This record gives sequence, C-alpha cells and structure tokens, in this order.
Amino acid sequence: MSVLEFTTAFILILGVIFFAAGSIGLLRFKGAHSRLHALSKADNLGLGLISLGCLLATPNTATGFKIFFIWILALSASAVTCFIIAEWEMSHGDDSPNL
Amino acid sequence: MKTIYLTLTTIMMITVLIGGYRIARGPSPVDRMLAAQFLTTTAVAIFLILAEALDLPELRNVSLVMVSLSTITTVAFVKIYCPRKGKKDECP
Amino acid sequence: METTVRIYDFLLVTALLGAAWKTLFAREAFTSTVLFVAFGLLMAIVWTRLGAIDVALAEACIGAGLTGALLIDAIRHFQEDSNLNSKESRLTFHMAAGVLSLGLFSILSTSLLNLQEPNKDVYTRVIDHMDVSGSSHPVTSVLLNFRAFDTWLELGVLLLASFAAISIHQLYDDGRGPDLMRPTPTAIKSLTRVMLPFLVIIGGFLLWLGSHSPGGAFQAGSLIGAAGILIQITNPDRRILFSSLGFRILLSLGFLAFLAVAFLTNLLQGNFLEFPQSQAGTFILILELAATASIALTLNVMFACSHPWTRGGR
Repeated sequence: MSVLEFTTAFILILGVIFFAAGSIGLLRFKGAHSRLHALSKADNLGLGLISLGCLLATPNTATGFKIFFIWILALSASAVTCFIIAEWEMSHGDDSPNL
Repeated sequence: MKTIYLTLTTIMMITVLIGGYRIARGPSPVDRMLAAQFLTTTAVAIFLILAEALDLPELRNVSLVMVSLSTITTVAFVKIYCPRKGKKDECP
Repeated sequence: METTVRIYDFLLVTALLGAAWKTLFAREAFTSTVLFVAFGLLMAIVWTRLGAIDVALAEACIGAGLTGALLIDAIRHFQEDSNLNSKESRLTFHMAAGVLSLGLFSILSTSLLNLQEPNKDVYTRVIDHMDVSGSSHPVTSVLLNFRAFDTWLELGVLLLASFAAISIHQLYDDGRGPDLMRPTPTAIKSLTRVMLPFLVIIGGFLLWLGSHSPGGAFQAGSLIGAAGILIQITNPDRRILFSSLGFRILLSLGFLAFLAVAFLTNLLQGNFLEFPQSQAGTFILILELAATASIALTLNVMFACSHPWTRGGR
C-alpha cells in the first residue's frame, strides 16, 4: 500500500476506535449526563477522523468539499442538540435510577 | 483496502447495536433520545465509509441528508414531549 | 472478506429484528417512536445493501427526521385522549389484528418461496431507451417518463390524504396546538436560522441531482417539507392558512401539473403523457418542480393537522 493509503487506513481505524469508545461509554456510564458526554465528544471526534480519512481517499476536490460540509453540519447539529438535551434533562428530568 | 473498509463497517454495526440497546433499555427518555441522535451520526459515518468501500458517490448524498435532518427529532422532543408520570410533571 | 460481509449482514438483521420487536412491545409510545426512527435508519442501510440507492435516500429523508417529529407530536396530542389510552383489552380487536397479520405473513412467505428470477428484459429495455427519456438516471426515467401515470396517481393519493387531514383539522381543532409546546430555547432559534437556508439549498441540490443520480422530486420535497416542519415546531404561532388560494394551488400543483402535461401531450403527440422526445428533459423538470412543492406542503399539512378525531377526547 502506498503512504496515502496507509495514512487513510490508520486515520479511519482511529476514528472507528473513538466511535467504539463512545459506544462503550454509552453502555457502561451511569446516568444520562455522563452518557451525553461520552457520545457528544467521542462520537464527534470519531466522525471527524472518519471524514478526514475519507477526505484523503477522495479523487476530486468537489467531493472533498462535500465531505467537509457534512462534517461541519454534523458538528453544529451535535453541539446544539447535546446542549438542548442536557437542558431538558436538568429542568424536566425525572428521578430515574442511574442504571 | 476494501477489507479494511468492510471490517470497519462491521465494527460500526456493533456500535449501532449498542445504541439500539440503549434506546430500548435507557430508563429515562433522555437516554433514548440521545442514543437516537447519535445513532444518526453513526449512520452518517457508516455511509461515508461505504461510499469509499463500494465506490458509490451517491451514498455521500445520503449522509448529507441524514445529517441535515438529524436535529428535527431532537427539537421536537425538547419542545413537545411530555412524560406521563413523574414528580416534575411540568407539561404546558 | 466473504465472512466479514456475512457477519455484517447478520448484525444488520439482528439489529432490524430487535428494533422491530421492541417497537411493537415497548411499554411506552415514546420508546416505540424512537425505536421506529432507529428502524428507519437501519432500513436505509438495508436498502444500500440491496443496491437500491434511491430508496435508501428516500428512507433517510423520511425515516431519519420527519417520522420522529410527526410521531412525537402525535403522541402529545393523543396523550389526553381517554379512548386511546384505556388499558382494557379488546379481545376481538386484538384477534382480528392477529388474523390479518397472519394472513399477510402467509401471503408474503408464499410469494418469497415462489420468487422467480428478476426480469432482466425490462432492465435492458429501459437502458436502451435512456437516450430519449430526458434523464440519464434509469429510476428517474422510469418514474417520470415511462411510468409517469403511476407517479401522477401517487400524487393524487397524497392529495387525498392531505384533504382528509385538513378536514379532520377543520372539524376537531380547538386551537390548543401552540399551547402544548414549551418555549423555544435560544440555541434552537440560532440553529434554525442557520439550518433553514441549508435545508432549502440541499433540497434544490437533490432535485437537480435527480436527472443523473439518485435523488429527485420526492427526496427534495421531503427536505423542504422538513424545513417547514422545523418552522412549525419553533414558531408554533405561525399557522397554515388553509383557506388561502395560494396554499390550495401549491398543494395541488403536482397533480394539476401532471394533468396539464397530459392534455398538452395529447394535443401535441396524440397520446396522453407521451413526451416529445426532444423536450422530454424539460417536461421532467417541470413535473419534478411541481411535485416537490406539493410533497413539501403535504408533509407540512400532515404535521399541522395531527389531532384526535374523537370529540370526547378532551
């Protein structure tokens, strides 16, 4: 494999590792706030790395711009939604057991 | 190279299963909603990898659409959803 | 690599079946809703696995966001309806549902067992006629040129559904819709300001894509409809004025455009809906634009008109 392919594979594997770490956090953390931390940080970092890997693997610039745009949209959407979910939990959350 | 892509997609599918478990299990509605929101992010990542693996550039448009629509369910949940029971039952 | 694909398929099927099971047997309606959204995402992956990218795009458009918002709104409206929330078991109702499901299952399984080879002849005939169809994507040519009649009738069905929804709204609306929502957080207001132009632009991009790539009127219409639903959620005081002429024209624009094109082509060519071969691309574009407007408005009508239709609800 060439250097570019090796770098792409490495970045993609790193991204999937972060995704897996976020999911394990989703599984094993106790309480909704901790799970929100795990998901919004680790999943978005994983998505950023996967987007970077796919950027390196694309043939032309227009597709690269599209992937970059997807990443920016995902980042802004996640930032807002994790905030409003946390705010909902603070003001309307019930006292569920921390399973 | 394609083997690596397919292996990564399989690992992401395990992530999807874990997210689905959290939706089914999560005791509070917030758990379910955040798992669904980030299931969308996981699906975006899966489609990005699949676009490279299967050499189908149309799958990136699917990612684009999913990422644009991912916030609508959460916005609806925050504004509209009212838990049936609970001590802090502040439904309008 | 073959085993990796098999493991992937096995995980996908497990996730699908688990999500479907839990959707049906969850304790709360909200759990079923969220699982149904997850099911829609999984179905998009399944359609990709089966090679149907257009259907995957449509499933991602409708199942990823719109279904969740619609169902959450419906849950809220139906939450106080005592008829729907009664815990008593209506045995005959459940048995009738069980018998019908068993009948559907037997029909599907017998047709699956008798499945023949797909008809390759149709595919080659479509590919042979692509250069006169007006678009370079086979699905768009079939939907909007070769089988335009079917698409026309689909738009008619959508129009009938929105008629039904508007009728229910006019009869049973008590104006409490905006009162059932909480105030909008500031973060959502800024996100909406940013996302709305992007949603419209991406919708237009999908419409343009339909001529050479998976995309088209339905996907573009659902994105623009999602933009409208976002406006309806964040600004619930903005109501659709069902009696305005502009609304009525836009809602029926898809169906009427097909009707106009049908009569026009009858004058020009002697057959209904036979496009002149040099203008086929233009005709497809006009029909897709009209269909996009209709579909977007139909989705907004569906969101605005979710009310219980029993008078004794409140």
